[in-house]
Amino acid sequence: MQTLSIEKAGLSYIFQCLELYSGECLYLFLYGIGIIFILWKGRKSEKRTFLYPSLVLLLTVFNPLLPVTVNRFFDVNKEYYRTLWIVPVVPLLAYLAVKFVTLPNRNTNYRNAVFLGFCCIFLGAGTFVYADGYIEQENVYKVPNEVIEVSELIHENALVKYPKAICDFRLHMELRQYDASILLTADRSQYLAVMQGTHQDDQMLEQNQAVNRILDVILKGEEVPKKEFLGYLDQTNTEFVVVEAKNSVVLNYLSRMGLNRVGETEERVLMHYDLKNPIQYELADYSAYW
Amino acid sequence: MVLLNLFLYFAFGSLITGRFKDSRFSLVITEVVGFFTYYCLFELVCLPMVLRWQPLSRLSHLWAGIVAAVVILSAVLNWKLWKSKLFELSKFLRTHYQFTFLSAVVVVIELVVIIHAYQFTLDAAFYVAEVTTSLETNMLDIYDPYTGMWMDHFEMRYFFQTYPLNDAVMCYLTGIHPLLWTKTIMEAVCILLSNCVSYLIGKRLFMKKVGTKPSEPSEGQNGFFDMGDYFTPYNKIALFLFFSGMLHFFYTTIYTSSAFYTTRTYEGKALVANVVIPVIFWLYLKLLQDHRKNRYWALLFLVSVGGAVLSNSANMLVPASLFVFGVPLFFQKRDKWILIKTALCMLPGILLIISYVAYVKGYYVLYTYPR
Repeated sequence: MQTLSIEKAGLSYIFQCLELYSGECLYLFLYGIGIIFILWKGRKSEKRTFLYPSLVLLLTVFNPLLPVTVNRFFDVNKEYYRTLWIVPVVPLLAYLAVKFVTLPNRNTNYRNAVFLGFCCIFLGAGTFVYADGYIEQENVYKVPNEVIEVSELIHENALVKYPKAICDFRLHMELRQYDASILLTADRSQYLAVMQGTHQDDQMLEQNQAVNRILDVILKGEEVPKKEFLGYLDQTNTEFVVVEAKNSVVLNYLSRMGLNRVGETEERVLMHYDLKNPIQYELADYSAYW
Repeated sequence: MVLLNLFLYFAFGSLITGRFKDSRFSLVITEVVGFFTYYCLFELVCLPMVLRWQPLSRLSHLWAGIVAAVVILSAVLNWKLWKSKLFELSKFLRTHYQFTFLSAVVVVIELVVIIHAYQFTLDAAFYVAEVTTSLETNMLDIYDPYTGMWMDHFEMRYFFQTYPLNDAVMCYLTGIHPLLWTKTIMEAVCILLSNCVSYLIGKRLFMKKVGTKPSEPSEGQNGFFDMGDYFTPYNKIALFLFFSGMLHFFYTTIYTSSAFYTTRTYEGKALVANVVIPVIFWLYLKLLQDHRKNRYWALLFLVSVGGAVLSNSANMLVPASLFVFGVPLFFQKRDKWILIKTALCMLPGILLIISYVAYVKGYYVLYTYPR
């Protein structure tokens, strides 16, 4: 959870964490009801199975003091929510549903009604994973066709075996999944830091200045002076810049900077820069140790 | 390829479960045990090779040899067991046709819907690119998956999770593209394994009463949704799988284990959330039955080590899960050995956390070149 900070939230962290974790889903609430039901009416075996571990969960994972204490020793800001995976929400709710549907000595109407009732509760209490639409894969690689097309275009126009590129965010994250012979100028954390405006300490800023400034151009449309911008491309050995076709501001800027439009796909344009001193990237030779 | 993976886990698992003298040979338990055994053994083979800067090709050939040897050994030792199990399985599927049909429908729907969907997730930039990078460079963990650049030291955050390197080995051996391997084949493996574990949990929940051995189908059953009082324990398990599947599709925020199941299935984290932690829960149920059985503790230890191979998230989550289920077990059974054994099972995760913290604090660095 990138947006939450244990230091800032303190004891309220766990509640904010639960809120984000659950979103609009009420399953943790239903889990609580299920546990109360087992406490009240459950058999001994059900208490042993679900209730007692839940009490330990209440004292540990759900305990507001725990994240604050643990965070003093290890930074668990981003990962603490994963401890909620331990809560057996799915097994308990599925178990109770089956238990009520299959209660002995009930007729078919009762069973159908309870079955439908549980289906309605579960559907109503959650958010369908494809609520925003089901996107079918475009090919067997499960990346957009654009990724494959851009990869081919880069190799067609590259003079070296390992060309280096910087792309718009989505393509940047997917390009090396398909083709690792294309090097990327920015790594994921650098890209995200610039995109989200996350604080980078002075040392990082100095180290990343060239990449940060190139990203400022691509992401924010900043107009960096020509000499400076081309210097950054040379410094990082960046030969290709891939920009979304709809991003005309950046495309015009790149053209003015002297980059050549060498190819395009339905949604993207591939710009090429003639590096002053292209560095031929070679893999390190470890054969002496084999 | 999915079946090949499952067969490999089965062969690895048979070497362990086939030796259990006092219980019936279970196909599903063998599959789950084999999965963890496979990855634990891979870790033992892989890590020294990573540390010695060996190429992927050499690891792949070595691993292929080991796997072949294990499969042959397992086949020789367990041939009769496998044969009898095959007959038993076909009889079981015919006898419990309602369970077979309903479970198959649930699992097939999950497989088709999840695998057929396109998902954009940031972590694929590591998990999949790690595989493509290893293949492209023929090296192990030496190059940054995000950029492709050479790294002067190993990134300890990912050092012990060799799950993506196994993907790379399998891609090298089969010639399958990493995207196809991770996002289709391993996705299917994760879904099937998760359902196997749900089946085991369901079996434990619905077949524990005295005299509830799987009953034969009664006469007069009118169909799948008109079962009257004819719910056999296996039909209950099928219904359990149905509700579990439904909950996975609806328990969706970007953080839930179900979201990892449906959208990030190829990641090691999805396996930790939907296989490792549920297996610990299942073993807790088995230990409630008989906490003195060292076999279950050994399996717990295996899961604890195997989890760390899948994802570094397991380093924190496995010890935490063991604590959450170990403490109530201790209070119910009042046996101090439970605490000792639980602590032993927590040890691998805790040691890995300490090693990572020591790396972050600058106490040591493992370089990718001789110094």
